[in-house]
Amino acid sequence: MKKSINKIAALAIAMTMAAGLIAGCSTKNSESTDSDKSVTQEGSNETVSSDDYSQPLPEDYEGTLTMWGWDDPYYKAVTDAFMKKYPNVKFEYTPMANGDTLQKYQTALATGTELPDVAWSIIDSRAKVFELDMWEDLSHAPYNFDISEVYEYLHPKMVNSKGQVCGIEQSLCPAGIAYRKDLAKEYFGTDDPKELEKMFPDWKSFIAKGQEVYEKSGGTIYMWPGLADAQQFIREQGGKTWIDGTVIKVTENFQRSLNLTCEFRDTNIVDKLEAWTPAWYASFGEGKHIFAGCATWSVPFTIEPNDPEGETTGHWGLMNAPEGNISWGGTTLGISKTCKDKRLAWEFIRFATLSTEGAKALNSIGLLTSAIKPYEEAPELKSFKSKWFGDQDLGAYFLDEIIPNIKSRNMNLDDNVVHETLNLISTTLNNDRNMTADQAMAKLKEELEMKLPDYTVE
Amino acid sequence: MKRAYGKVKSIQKWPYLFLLPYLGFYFMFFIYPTIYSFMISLTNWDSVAGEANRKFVGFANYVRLFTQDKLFYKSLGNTFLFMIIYIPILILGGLLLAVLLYKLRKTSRLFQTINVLPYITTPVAIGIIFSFLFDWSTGIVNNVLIQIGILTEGINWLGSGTMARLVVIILIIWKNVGYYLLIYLAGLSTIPEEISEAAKVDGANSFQVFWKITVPFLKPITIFLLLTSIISGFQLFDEPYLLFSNINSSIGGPDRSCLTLMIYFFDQTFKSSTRLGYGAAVSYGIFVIVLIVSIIVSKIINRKEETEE
Repeated sequence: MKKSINKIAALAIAMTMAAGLIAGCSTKNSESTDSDKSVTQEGSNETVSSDDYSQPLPEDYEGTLTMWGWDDPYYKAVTDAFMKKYPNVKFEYTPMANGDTLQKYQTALATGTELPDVAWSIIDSRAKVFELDMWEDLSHAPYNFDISEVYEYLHPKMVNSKGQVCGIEQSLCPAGIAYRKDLAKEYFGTDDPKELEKMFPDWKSFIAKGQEVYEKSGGTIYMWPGLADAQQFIREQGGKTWIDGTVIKVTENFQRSLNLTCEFRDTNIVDKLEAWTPAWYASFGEGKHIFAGCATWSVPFTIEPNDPEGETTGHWGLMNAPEGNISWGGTTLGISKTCKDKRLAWEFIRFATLSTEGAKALNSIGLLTSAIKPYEEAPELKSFKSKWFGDQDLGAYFLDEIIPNIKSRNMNLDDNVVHETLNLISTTLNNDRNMTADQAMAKLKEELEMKLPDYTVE
Repeated sequence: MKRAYGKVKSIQKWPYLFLLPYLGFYFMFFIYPTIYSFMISLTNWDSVAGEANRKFVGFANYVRLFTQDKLFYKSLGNTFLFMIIYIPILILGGLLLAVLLYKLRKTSRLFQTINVLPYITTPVAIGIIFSFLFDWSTGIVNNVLIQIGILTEGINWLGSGTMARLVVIILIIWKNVGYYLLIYLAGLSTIPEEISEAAKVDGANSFQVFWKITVPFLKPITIFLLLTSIISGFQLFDEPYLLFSNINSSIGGPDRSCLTLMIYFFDQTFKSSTRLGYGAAVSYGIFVIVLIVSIIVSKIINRKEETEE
């Protein structure tokens, strides 16, 4: 009797463990099906049709959205504003490094695990991420999003190779250049952005003035913190696509930026700092570098935290870059195909990116909405100021002066590889002071041939 | 007799039943992924093209990997270079430190703890600390070397291929020497004291005791450390990856000098490319190389043991 009880107990334990094993590996398909049904059930107002995505949801709508993201201040600002309007909506946020976006999404797709309902996509890997079979096309029914609602220069950054709109930009990310007013006054005799723009119509004049600064300061003051960020700014000014079919147009797109980078280095007008290193961040508070690339997000993320003195002195200014400005960075919000409540996800994205209420939430953290209409409805949203920039209205300058001078280029699937290889070349140029632009070009081509063997490198 | 036979048969199924949960886990998390990875490596599966477009391509991925992929060979060369330099230093350093600490009676525990601390520190923190320490402009290392007059201008540790490799090797040694020390200390405690004492009575000096008694007694431990070091050496990922993980860094650091096999696999599968099929072939390529090296090393060790016998 005792023996048989032992047997039964052992069998039960073994079966429990095996069942746990199987249960642990099961997918949530059945759960998501139920949730799909609940989309219409959860809406407390029965008159709201789930098909009519153009109408706002009732304010007592209940639902939950999941998101994976990396910009906590942005997430907090927009979700807080959204939950004020829709108090019964909940968000489940999972922090994720922006560099891991591609890996996380493709792993979830390959293994069949859940994707976030509202999916973010950073510009660095966006061309690849947008090609993954995970996005709702926002330009089609039921969303019917009209891309002309957002600034035109962003359009190529929001579509994949099939022309599907996979996401809407969270905010505008135009970049001009920021400058230290105290240093500009000392070395150029003026700190007025318009006069400085006249002084620097192109990079040649920038180099010539830089040499004067080098001589006058005894080599202690530089025009730019590092070669890599200078090179990145110049190459993005081109506005031409880097890859055409199976041809990577290296010479056409990068020869000039490499020539200028070498000239920057050889005339000693640029410091040796590697971008995004601790020393590079600290340089914003040192007063040794007159200019730096400056996007909308640079103000709260790089300048303000690293230059405590600037808050009282307001010694920064914003101006158009020589030879034009660039679109720098950016993150889109899109709806994943596995989203359990697409109706709610669209309501949130529309609120966060296209509405005036969302634009106000963005303005509170110093960001500019990518949609045009909110600026017409509430012109005060055009304006935002930072104590670091004194009286200059940064919002108005970005919108009225910087954006019209941006040439945006179409994205290509392997842009991220080209970008990464260009970083490699910048590091080499920074370290090897004898490397010429032609040698850098040859190395760039060699590296790209190794990394992307299926392309022709021209 | 027949009844007894039947009873034996019925008892025999219980061990299998008890083993079932373990075997289930083993099959699901080891056997199945191993076989499935191999199957993936025979396809052109690309996340961007989608699973629906996955096609069988035979050994095409392997042919490309072994005959055309220069970066694979570069990562292989880098991995070997790291291993050739740091494994002997770790083994010798761990052994010498263990012998020195073993003789210390009062402060032995304190020094053991100090040496083991880096081993239990998270790799992410170590990566950040080292990138601060070896920064070209603001790093403590350059500042100290300039202050004491060894350098007049800072070295671009993380910007030059050779120097970047050196920093990675220093990082690996600093992090792991504590582990080697602990294993050797455990080994030292198994050597009978009377043998060393008898040798000293017979006139052997400290070096002779170390070389003729300590080292041979610790040989099994040294072989264990050597084999595990080689296997973990092929898996080298955290240290070089984290050191060059800032936004503008290129994969594998300057000149791809710190591109190891595992970083290359990760990059090909999830970062630069989305070719899961090719990535699986890279992982199997690494497996084949680890297998060959392990066989060669164990053959050498076994041959030595046979000649000694």
